[in-house]
Amino acid sequence: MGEEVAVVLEPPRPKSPPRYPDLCGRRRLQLELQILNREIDFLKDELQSLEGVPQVSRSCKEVNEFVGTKQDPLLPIEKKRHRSCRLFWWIRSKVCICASWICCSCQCLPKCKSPCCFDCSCCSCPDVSCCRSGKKRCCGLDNCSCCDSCCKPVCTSCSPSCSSCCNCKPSCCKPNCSSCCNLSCCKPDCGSCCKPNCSGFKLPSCCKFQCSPSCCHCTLPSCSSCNPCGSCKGCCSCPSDCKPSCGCFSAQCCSCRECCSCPQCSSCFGCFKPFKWSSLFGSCCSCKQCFKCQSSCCKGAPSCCKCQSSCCEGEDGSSSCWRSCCSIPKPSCSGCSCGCVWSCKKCTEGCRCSGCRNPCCATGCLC
Amino acid sequence: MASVADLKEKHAAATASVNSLRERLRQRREMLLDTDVARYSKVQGRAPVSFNPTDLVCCRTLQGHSGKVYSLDWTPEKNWIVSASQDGRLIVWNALTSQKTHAIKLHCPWVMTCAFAPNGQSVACGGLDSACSIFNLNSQADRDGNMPVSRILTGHKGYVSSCQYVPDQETRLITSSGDQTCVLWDVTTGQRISIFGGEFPSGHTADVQSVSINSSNTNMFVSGSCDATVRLWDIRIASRAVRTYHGHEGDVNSVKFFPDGHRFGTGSEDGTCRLFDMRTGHQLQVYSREPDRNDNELPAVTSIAFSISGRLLFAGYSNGDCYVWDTLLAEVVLNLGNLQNSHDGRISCLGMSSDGSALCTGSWDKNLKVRTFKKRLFPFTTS
Repeated sequence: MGEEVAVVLEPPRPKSPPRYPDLCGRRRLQLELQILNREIDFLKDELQSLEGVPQVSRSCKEVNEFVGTKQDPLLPIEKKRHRSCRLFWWIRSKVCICASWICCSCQCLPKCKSPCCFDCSCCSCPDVSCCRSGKKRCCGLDNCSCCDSCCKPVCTSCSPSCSSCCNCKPSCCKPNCSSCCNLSCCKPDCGSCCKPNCSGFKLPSCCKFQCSPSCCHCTLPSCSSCNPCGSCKGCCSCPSDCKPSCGCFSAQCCSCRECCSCPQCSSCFGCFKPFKWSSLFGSCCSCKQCFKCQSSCCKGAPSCCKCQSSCCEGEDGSSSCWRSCCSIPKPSCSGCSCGCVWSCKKCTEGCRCSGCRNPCCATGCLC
Repeated sequence: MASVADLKEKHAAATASVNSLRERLRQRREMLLDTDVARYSKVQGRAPVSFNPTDLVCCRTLQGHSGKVYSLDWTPEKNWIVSASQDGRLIVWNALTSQKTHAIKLHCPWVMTCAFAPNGQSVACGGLDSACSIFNLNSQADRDGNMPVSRILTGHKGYVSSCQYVPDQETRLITSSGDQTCVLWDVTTGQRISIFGGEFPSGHTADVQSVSINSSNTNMFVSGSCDATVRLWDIRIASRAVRTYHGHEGDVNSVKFFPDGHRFGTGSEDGTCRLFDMRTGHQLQVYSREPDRNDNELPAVTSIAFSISGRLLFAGYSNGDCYVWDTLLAEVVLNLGNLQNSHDGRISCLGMSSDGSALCTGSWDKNLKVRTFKKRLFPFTTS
């Protein structure tokens, strides 16, 4: 592609409408109603699209089938088959006779293609330990699992009588889940399921009332761990007048009262809350700071958040800043030479000397 | 014209409808949730992955940045890496030799993301300047030794958090931003082709943190946001997201497509990674670590990557851990943060080489490290 001359131009600053519409009265309500109606349409479409969608197990099957189709250089190398097993495997595949004691005598796992196992139909069981433990290898439709009794299907869902399930402990079957420990058998029903502690949650009370699968005690969370503004669903003590437009998602962000005044902040990296990346770059601005923009200093830069006086020092009041206002808080430059002045045209990065507090040039230009 | 009282009544009714529909959706999805990937895989008798602590060896440490590393990207073909740092520089590395081929001083030092063009000839970066800068690596440096910018993509009203070139298209780039939108750019003209989300909300309702383009179908990409959702977009239809994925309980910091192109992984501030099915919207698996003994909050997931087969999920956390998850069994098989020669600080970014043979991690300790499986060191055996 053609290369441009390396001229860094000031980005255009078109006058844009206020970021937020009028937050009071009819216009706000109309807009919010419009948004809600649109959301209702989207949700109805999504609900309809779920008709005919297969269960999660189908996707899980696809994932399992896909993994292993590509060689992965980062995976540990599988053990090689012993030569004797390879020969044995070849013979077996030709003769196609399969008895369970033969299956278990080898490191590798011969795959018998024709139904001839000792007292089960043949299958490809990847788990050698199933043989060694003495348990018979049961063959399901397309997989094997280690079972006490042979040829029973795997419990993919909880059936009324667990005796028909291969790996489902009878006590796990519905409706009595009081001694449940095999999660695959039990439906996540908070009232009757015995589940492990809330992994991933600080306190059981943090579980949502919908009872996520890993929750043991499902109660409403305290608001200290949920968003005070915006999506207060599930919170027990969130104020009802939280305004979703605040966009606050951190418990430390702001109370709803402060959120309502956030839109008055002029844009400061899009921050209407403590800036998410402030820990990386230093604090951006709080809404309070946004009010301190000195308009005379920040001429032509309406988005200037906190105009550092170093932006305009050295200029008299009648002239506009020849340098665009610093909308980014400048760090102190401990290593800068206080003798080098900001007004030097070679200076592209201003800062304040931590020692003398004079404006300095971070790049240390010499004039 | 409807009175304010009428509007309030309609608003309340509409809010109730939205809540009711969401609840019905949630219940309908729960009915379809008959298993997850880990349970299914265990029933299938999947053998676990077993690593020795010395298996994933650090074969290269790339030193040169003087500030925290925030972002990295591999070239699609050569073994080059571009990294962006708090020191205000992009560095292009030859990962095989550890040599720096380019060190680009940025006009705006507050960089948050970088990306390599598919042909490896250009790099893009963006950050707090709300713009995305493009550098042609074949350009001559100016008198001061600085590489000139070949294009600046302006238009975002908030910081640029993530950028990615559309695979096999040198001229198309997608960015995500703190202004709650994603944008598809024409790099040659500098124009915005499409804006995803925006003023009339059909998109994210908070800062967008990450994007991932589907390499199997480059018309589709996903974005993760501080609104705790992930959205799927079709670049041909910018007016609304194709689908929204709920589940996370905090900012979604990182999204990455699964190698099969039909699933994607996410990493979040809530400390979990999740695997979603793109087409059905199902949440297939949650990868959640155990809380520590002191019951502190779970560390946030900062970045994720999949191995080329999809069997491994690498996740960097805010406390310096880097877990290697067995995707199928949802078990942690290794913690790169505990190994010898691991980073001294938080791992902020991860990237897998295009052939899947090496993982590069970038950290707040100012370094990048390249790891390979020790028995397969080629081509990294040459040093």
